[in-house]
Amino acid sequence: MVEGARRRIVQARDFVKRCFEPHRRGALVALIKASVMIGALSELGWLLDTRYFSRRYAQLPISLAWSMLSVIFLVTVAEVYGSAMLKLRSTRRSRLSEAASLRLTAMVTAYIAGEKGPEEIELAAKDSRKDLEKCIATALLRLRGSALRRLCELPAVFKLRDKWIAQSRKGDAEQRRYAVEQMGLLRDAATIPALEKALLDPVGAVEAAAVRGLLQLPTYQKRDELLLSLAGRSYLVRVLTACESADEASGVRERELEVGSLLALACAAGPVEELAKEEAAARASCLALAAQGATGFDSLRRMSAAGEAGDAPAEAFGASLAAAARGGRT
Amino acid sequence: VISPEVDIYVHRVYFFFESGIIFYVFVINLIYLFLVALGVFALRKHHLPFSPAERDAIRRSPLTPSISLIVPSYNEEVSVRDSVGCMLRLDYPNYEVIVVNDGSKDRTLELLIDQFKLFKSARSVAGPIETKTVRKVYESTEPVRLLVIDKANGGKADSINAGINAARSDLVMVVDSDSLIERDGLFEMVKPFLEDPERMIAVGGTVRAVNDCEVRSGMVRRIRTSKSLLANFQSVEYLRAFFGGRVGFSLFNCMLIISGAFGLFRRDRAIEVGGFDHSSIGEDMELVVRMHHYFIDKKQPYRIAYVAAPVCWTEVPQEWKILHRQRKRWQRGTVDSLWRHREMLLNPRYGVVGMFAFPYFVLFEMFGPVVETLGYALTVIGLTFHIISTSVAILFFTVSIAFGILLSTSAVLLDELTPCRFPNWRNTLTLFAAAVLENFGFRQVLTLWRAQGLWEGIRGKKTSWGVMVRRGFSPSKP
Repeated sequence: MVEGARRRIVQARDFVKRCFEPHRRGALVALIKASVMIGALSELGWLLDTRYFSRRYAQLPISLAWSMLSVIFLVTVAEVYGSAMLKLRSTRRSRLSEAASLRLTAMVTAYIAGEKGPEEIELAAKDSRKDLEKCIATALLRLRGSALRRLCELPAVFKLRDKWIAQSRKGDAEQRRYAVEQMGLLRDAATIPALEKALLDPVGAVEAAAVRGLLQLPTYQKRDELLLSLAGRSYLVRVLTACESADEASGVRERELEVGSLLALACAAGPVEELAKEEAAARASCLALAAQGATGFDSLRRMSAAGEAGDAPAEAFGASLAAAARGGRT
Repeated sequence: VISPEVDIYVHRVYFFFESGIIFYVFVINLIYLFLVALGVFALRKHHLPFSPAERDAIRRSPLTPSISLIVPSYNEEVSVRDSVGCMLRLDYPNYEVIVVNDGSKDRTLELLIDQFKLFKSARSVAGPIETKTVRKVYESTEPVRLLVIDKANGGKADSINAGINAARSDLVMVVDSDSLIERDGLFEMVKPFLEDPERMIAVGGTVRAVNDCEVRSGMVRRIRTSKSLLANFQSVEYLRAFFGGRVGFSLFNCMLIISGAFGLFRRDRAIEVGGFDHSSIGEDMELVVRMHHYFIDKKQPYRIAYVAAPVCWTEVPQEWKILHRQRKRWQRGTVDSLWRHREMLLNPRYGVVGMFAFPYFVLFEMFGPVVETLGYALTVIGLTFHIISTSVAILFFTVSIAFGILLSTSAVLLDELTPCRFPNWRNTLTLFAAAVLENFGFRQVLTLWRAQGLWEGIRGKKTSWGVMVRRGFSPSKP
């Protein structure tokens, strides 16, 4: 009986845990909001019926129909009006913003070339801070070397850095990801604490942006630790950071990182049925590939496809690697 | 001459039926409205699209899952070159296109060989799923690997299975050969698989009407409404089905349909459940329902999701006759899929699928058209013979037509929340007009056709490839 109760408790705990997984939490919030919205509309219809239409029309179907029609009419008109307004406003805003962005981009380019001073940009962006931010964000993504350093000396960039640091801690997932991505592109040591904090973000995209940002920082001290922690992070994070990690981890270090963690997983476990059947052969092939100089996941996959994986069928082996990459956390 | 007692009795029975139907239509519309409301809150917040930096990282990442696009085609000489050309120009780092020619009687195969400079390939396309005989395999490697499988006619499901057998990728995407995928559509489709690689087994995207949109080089360059009212009605209908229904069902992992025109599946999982069933009429719905059935039976955690952002553009019928045939086929498919897996109905073992999605589909999607048609007939007859009062008739029309208008206009509003919305407010107003007008005649006709489809489905009428008059994607005037 105690055993049964314990099992039930574990089941209940698992159920509660499952309910609060990110995608379920989102669904729950949407469900509550939708219920409130439908409830409010029903309440409005009910109020109209009891307070007004039922007094005017004696027949119940008629008063019900009128109250429903009134609510439907109100909502439909609001929808049409809201939709048209949204469209007109966004068209107008994008037109204005496009003109301002072009002007600011030209000014920032002139500043990087040394033809204009920071004060002129500050003055020009006085009424269009958002456009300046957009312009700087685009430039950060494209510039490298001395041009990037020159851009980062702009006072507006310092202000933006502080804004992004604050934004990376609050706001919705999209805002947090944007802030963390921008901080990463700045390559500024002052953003390290905020980026490290973002490594713990529950949203994979934010976490990945933080990893990418930290790996791009030449002065970051805990690089090796971060690289080794990648094997334990989610698949999304590993996909989004694979290039940076491969760039950073070369030679022996990459071999330890990839072969050490992924190979073991690839050999030992995988949900694919063929893998169980071919486990011994796959294990032998993995070791053979490592001995032949496989230095990472990609090279393992490539070498296995090229038939260098010994006797194990390339397809099963590739599937096992993919399964291992997906199930890295387990 | 009817005695007063009988007359009263008839009136009471009639009123009872009419009230029941009004209640039924009210409940069905309330559920639709609830799903639309869920869509409003879920569309924006639930899905975080990839940023440009993330797309760049995926392009360069060696871990990005590979995709095989499977394009079953039968007598598609008008549109196959454009759509395959479009598929070869998609922005994704690791994919191949597999066109399966299902014994076409027209020049589909010849046109493909000429256009893409195909050569005979020795690639083995045998696989675990049984299909009709494969005659020949053709291949091209430039710019993206294109594989064309020429096989004996066996139907759409059989063609997709041949494609799944031939595929060597982690994921397989089924795309109709008359469809155009947005250039960056694969990124967003693959995202749920990256977020939850262990459990995610299938993802569906949005299908929209391409009629009269500006298409150049196999890409939709300018989105706009059609000149045909029938196409616009269907545009609204698609918006309602995708942004309302599927978003809501997907949130609770109980989506029973992934459109056959645009669905991404994990290859190993699709093979595990036996691939598409060639004896089924609605093979797309049947596979998804089977996946639910299979994985719940096996107690394996799984997820089936819908993402609104990736869009597949497809030609919708502009002829009533073809639309009639299509809708009857869809309804037969629904009946067939639900009947095959009837064990799941109201079975608590199947969780939300068994207790909510399945009953919803049986009660509202399967039998809904019959009840609604009956409602219209009873109301008209009742009014003509003065069996029901005008007030009851007004209530019925309010519940069915006015509610329908609300649902359709809400769907158009939902379109504003997606990245692929109509850019021009005139188009949006046209759609709003279509959303209102479709409730006066079009929806009733569809309801009748669906009721016909239900009847044919119950009688067990078989089906083959759907016939569609293609207009092709030739560049239209801007």
